[in-house]
Amino acid sequence: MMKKSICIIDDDSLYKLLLIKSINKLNMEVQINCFANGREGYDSIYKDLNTAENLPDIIFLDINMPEMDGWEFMDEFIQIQKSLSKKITIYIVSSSIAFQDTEKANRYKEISGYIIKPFQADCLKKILSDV
Amino acid sequence: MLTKIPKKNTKIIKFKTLILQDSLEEALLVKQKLDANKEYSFELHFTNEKTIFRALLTDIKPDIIIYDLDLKQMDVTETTTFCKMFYAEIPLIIVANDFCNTKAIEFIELGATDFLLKKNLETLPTTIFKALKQNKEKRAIRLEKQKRWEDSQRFIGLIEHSQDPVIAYDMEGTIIYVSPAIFSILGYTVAEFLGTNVIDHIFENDLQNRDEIFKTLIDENKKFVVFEEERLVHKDGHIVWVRAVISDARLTPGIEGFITNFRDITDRKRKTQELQDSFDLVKEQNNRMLNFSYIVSHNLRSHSGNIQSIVGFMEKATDQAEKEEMLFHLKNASNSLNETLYNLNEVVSIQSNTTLKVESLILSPFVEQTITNLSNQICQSKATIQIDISKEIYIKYNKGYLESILQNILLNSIKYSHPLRDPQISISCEKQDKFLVLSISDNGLGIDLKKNKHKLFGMYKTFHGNGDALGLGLFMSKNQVEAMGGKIEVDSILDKGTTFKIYIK
Repeated sequence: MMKKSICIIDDDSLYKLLLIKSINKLNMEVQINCFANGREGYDSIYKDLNTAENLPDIIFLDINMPEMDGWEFMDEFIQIQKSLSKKITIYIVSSSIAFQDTEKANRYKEISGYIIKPFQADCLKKILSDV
Repeated sequence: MLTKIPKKNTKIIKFKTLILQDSLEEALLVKQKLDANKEYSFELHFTNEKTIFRALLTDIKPDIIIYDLDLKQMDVTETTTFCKMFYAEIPLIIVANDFCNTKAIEFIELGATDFLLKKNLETLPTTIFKALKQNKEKRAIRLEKQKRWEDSQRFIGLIEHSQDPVIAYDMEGTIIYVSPAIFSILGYTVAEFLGTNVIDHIFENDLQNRDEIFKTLIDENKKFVVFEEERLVHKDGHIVWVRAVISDARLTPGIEGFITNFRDITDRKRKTQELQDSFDLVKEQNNRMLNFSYIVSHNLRSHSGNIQSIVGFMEKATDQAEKEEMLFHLKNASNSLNETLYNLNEVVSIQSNTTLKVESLILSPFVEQTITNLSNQICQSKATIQIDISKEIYIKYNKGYLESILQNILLNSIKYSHPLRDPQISISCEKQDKFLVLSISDNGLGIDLKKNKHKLFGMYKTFHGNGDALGLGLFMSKNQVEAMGGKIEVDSILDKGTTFKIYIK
């Protein structure tokens, strides 16, 4: 089985550190890449558009970020989704419990789920096993 | 075929006839001629005295008066004049021995209905009948005229007493009629308003719209057009809002132009505006509150989420090193939470401070002082700042807020300057409606407003990937400007520069 690849796009470095720790504790073979905002995450995916082995299986995407937020990332992502050489599953991971955010996430068929922080270990385990 | 058979008149009409002759014999002669007639019946009265004549006039109410031109016992001229004056509806027939044209005309002018020679006395019944018929027609015409006059008086009364003015004007727009209500609405008297051109009373910005609607009245052959809202200019210069209806009266005799009636809706307009203003205010406050509750919820939750995770790790931690590490993170997380709470409290205090200290400030030296305080940053960035603010401009503002707003925007301009050129910042001030607008323009990086306009003044939003940007400055400035009853706007072109406009009440 191929090693799973996860991409975390979030500006909160403490959250990222804790999430990586949680993933490592699951004892699964995963590769993790972190980006501080939507722009950095998008650029990395765009660069590897045709290199399937460098593309992530899952993206954990935050909403509120500087420079390019989660929604803007989604809009750009949709533009290039067809040309991607690999299917990427996207989850929103946000501390926002606002109705307008969950509703908005629902409208994107490209978004597979909305996870409210903190990211619970059993939820993380389920997502990673499903891929 | 249908033939009309005339109905036989069985009822004989009796004409009350008053005869004025000097003698009974002469009167009987007249009676004889009348009796010879079988078609009509006459009830005859005779007198040769003025007082009896006048009494008979009121008592019997004669249908006709026949009198002799050669009366000796009564004054013929006076009798004619008297009858004409007080009993104009009773036909007067004069009989005479001789016929003299000038005399006949003289009496006809005085009021006699007809003239008959005694030798033709047998035609008297016909003459009487003709005279009665003539008089009946005259009377009908007079009644009709009177009715028409009353009707027109009633209409004039309706228009003149209405609170809504009515004007009529010819094809060139020259006013040919105006009702007195114009005074209460536009301040002109009827005399002042007549002869002026209708166009001169319409607010110039509304003229084009009027032309367009007026064109539809002509081109589409409509009977009338309605202007729901139109501005007119009062005699003393202020604007009056009206609802106007223009009717096409080009084919109406006496007008041959157009009729406009209108109603003053200034009051209604003002009330609607007040309602709109308070609606906007409440909407704005509500938006700010929603936005703020979102910020609070999101920013506090992001820290509490981290703390929850850390506590979870600590519980399950097996070795001391991991516990130590988590304790370190917990310390950081609680510090961040504390900082966020502090910032949020700042915002709340701006938004809820209703008794803010406001003082009179001379804008120009205040701006200069703020720039002097930033001289270190300005020198390092090689920025040049040009101030173009009139020395006389005073504002009422909270000193601390104004300083903080100016600092934030100036530091923004310096921080996001273009790498290929030294920053140039210009500060100017102009009056715009009820606001004083302070504009601060730079030649920096610019912001893509299409993408970022909604986030520009948001909390913790940064755009340029600048590491030390907190995303607090503009958010605070916006709150401060709004707390002072103004607003802040931004104009920007990517790669060219940015202009911030601060509206000061």
